[in-house]
Amino acid sequence: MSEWVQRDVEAVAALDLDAQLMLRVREGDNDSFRVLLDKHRNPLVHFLQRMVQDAGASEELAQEVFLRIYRSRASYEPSAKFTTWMFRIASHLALNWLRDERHERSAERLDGPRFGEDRGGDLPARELRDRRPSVEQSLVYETRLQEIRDSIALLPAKQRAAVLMHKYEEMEYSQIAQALECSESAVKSLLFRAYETLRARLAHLATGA
Amino acid sequence: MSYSEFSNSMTHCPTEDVLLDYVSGQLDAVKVAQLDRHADGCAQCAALRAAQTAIWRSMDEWKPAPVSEGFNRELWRRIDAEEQAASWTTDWAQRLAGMMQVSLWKRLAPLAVAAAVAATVFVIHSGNEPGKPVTKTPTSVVLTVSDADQIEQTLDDIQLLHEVDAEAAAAKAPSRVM
Repeated sequence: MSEWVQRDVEAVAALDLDAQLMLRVREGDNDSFRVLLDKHRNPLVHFLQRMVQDAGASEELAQEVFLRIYRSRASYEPSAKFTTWMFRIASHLALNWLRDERHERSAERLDGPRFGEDRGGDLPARELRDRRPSVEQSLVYETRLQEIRDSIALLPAKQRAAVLMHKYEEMEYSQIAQALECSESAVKSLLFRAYETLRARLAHLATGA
Repeated sequence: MSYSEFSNSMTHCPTEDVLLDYVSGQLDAVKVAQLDRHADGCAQCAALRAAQTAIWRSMDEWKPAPVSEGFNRELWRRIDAEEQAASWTTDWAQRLAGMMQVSLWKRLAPLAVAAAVAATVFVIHSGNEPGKPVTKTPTSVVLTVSDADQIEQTLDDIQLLHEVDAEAAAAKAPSRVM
């Protein structure tokens, strides 16, 4: 390893606690992997839930992400932030999953319930039960939420990934760029187009809010 | 974007990444105040700011479902299964390699013996009178499958004896040292 690369690795490791934990995992410390798992499990599963809008598939994909991280522990080098690397794997898997599921989704839209109603459609209902709202409030809430989920689901997959990472994971443009393997300017372009589409589709929510 | 660039942009409409940073709370207070002042006098920017803020808040309503309780357990089960499979494969690969090493000479030895026997037969046969059937010659040898098996069995026995000798020698070795 060259001196510059070594310095780079050390600099990232110094900044990123996760990278340090992963370096310990590389040395065979499974407890450090448990720490990483506990820390990143929820954000990762939630990102995938919003990305594929299928509760079962999102957990299956998240398991695959952690398995891939664990499998590649021996060759791990902290050349980027751990979370960026993790979301890169997650995005890759989710985009592949969406590509493979596209045909099934198209068939469902033609003669079945709208996308999202049968995929994780129980999620808002569970939250609403906890809040004990009135029936009318529940309907309004669920309709709004359904519209938001549908609008995001209808975005092109890469725009969707960029929006979800920007909005919910609070990732910087540079991190999103690394995760999606594109330039920062491409990420900004993806985000502008995605938010523009969402503003147009959900304009009535803004006026009704 | 530098501060001067940002200030210049405020004389015109701000770029969209500034608006996104504004809505997501990533702009500092000075820049927020500048954008607010600009939007107060620009209907287009005010509308865009309102629409983007509304989208941002609406998206906050989308709460994810809790992760299954058995998530970690299932992951560790899969990791353990993979590691077991990997160790089983490595173990068997090593055993197979060992078996190949031991059996290689055993596989070649019968062939060598068979070749030697065939050569002997050829020599004897070539010394017979022409036209006389070889099978009637009392000194001729026909190598059958059972012969080859017997040779291999014998070689196995020889190897076993070698191993017994080696173990016996190893057992004696410490007593010699002492």
